[in-house]
Amino acid sequence: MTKLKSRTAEQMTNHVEKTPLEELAHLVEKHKDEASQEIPVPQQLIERILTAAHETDEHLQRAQKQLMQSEKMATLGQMMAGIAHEINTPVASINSNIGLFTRSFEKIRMLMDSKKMLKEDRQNRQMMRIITTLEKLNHVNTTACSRIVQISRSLRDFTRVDEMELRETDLHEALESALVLAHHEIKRRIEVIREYGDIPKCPCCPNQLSGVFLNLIINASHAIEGKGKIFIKTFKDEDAIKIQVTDTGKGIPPEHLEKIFGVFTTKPPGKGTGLGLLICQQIIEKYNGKIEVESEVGVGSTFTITLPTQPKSGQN
Amino acid sequence: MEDKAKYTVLILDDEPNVLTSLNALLDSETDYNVLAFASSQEALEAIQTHEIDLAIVDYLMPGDLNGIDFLLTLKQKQPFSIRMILTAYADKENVIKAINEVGLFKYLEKPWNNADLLETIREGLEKRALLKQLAEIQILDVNEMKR
Repeated sequence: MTKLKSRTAEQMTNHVEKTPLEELAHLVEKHKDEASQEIPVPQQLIERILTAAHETDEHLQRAQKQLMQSEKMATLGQMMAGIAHEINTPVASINSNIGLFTRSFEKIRMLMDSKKMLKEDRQNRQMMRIITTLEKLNHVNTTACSRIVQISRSLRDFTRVDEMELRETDLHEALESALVLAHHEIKRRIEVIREYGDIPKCPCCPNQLSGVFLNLIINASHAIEGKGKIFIKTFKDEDAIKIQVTDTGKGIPPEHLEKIFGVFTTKPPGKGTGLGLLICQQIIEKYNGKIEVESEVGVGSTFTITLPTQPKSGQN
Repeated sequence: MEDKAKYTVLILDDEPNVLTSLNALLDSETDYNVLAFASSQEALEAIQTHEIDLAIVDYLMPGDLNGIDFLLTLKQKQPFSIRMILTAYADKENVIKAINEVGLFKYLEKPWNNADLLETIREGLEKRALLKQLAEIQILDVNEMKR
């Protein structure tokens, strides 16, 4: 398995003594008193300047894309909070009514049972059959409605803007919240196997971490074509907590492993923006943690998040 | 519970469906006297003439006096009433404001659980009975309650 450590911004910039622009400035300074308006600039220096300018351009483009993505996500977050609220109100009525239906059917049943001799009556037997059917359907409604309530709650928790604060978080709850939201991508096709260890609570913003987990789970589900499995493992490793998401998907070829934490995607246009892992990495790094990946083509990938049990920062 | 007249519960929500559901719930599961309103105006008139044991109010009432302000008025007029908010909004700032300013008994979110809601109302009414007793034997000062 190819192992690649995630890099910090510092490690990514490899420095020579002087930057090309500094060298050019130095040349300009050296020749400034000469009569001629021209300065001899070595070919190599020109090439280095062009490369630097190109890199800066790329950085700028990436930053702009990130900004756009962040803005999009902020708008989406606001919209989702509004939608969750809109859903909650009618769902409240339905949920309450379903409960009342259950109670009412119980009462009808009791009333009918209390008149034992009427059980012989054909009409009453028919009525009991209808009641039984209604009870069954109401049971389905109850389950369906509590599903809606569950999703709505997850959405609402996920988008709560006023809770970007540090909190002692049960990471397993954050994982479960992410799984609720990812359910659609996973159901039927993919088996989720949990190996939850004994890990302490972690001071962090639960929404942010839930978002990171959601991203990893969705990526895992997209990597799996057809049926497959996702393993979610948590355990304590000395002073750190580790969360691993392993999939049995198609894997990441070594030449791509380098790039996945940058602006990079192999998904078709319209599916994913290629920025998910970059943002995830930034979030985790804010908690003084790291994301690492191991992968083998044709076998699957494992993303490992490491979080110190006492992250220093985390505030956005 | 003492053998007194029924408790009066006021519900205020501009969503007619929610009002119907709450009304049906209280009607079928309790013996409370229920006053249901879709506008703060009507509810304000009611609290002039009726003694309210417990009020369940939605926080936001667009185009109308909002839930918190209604409860503040109720607190002034009937300081021993039990005040509750039941809402789909979950705005922390306003929760804190509500609990502090209004002297809220409970802040509940929609969708609610029927059994939990009924239990909370029961608790609220127990507290109400206690408060009234204490006021009657003059341990509690009405002006203290208004603050």
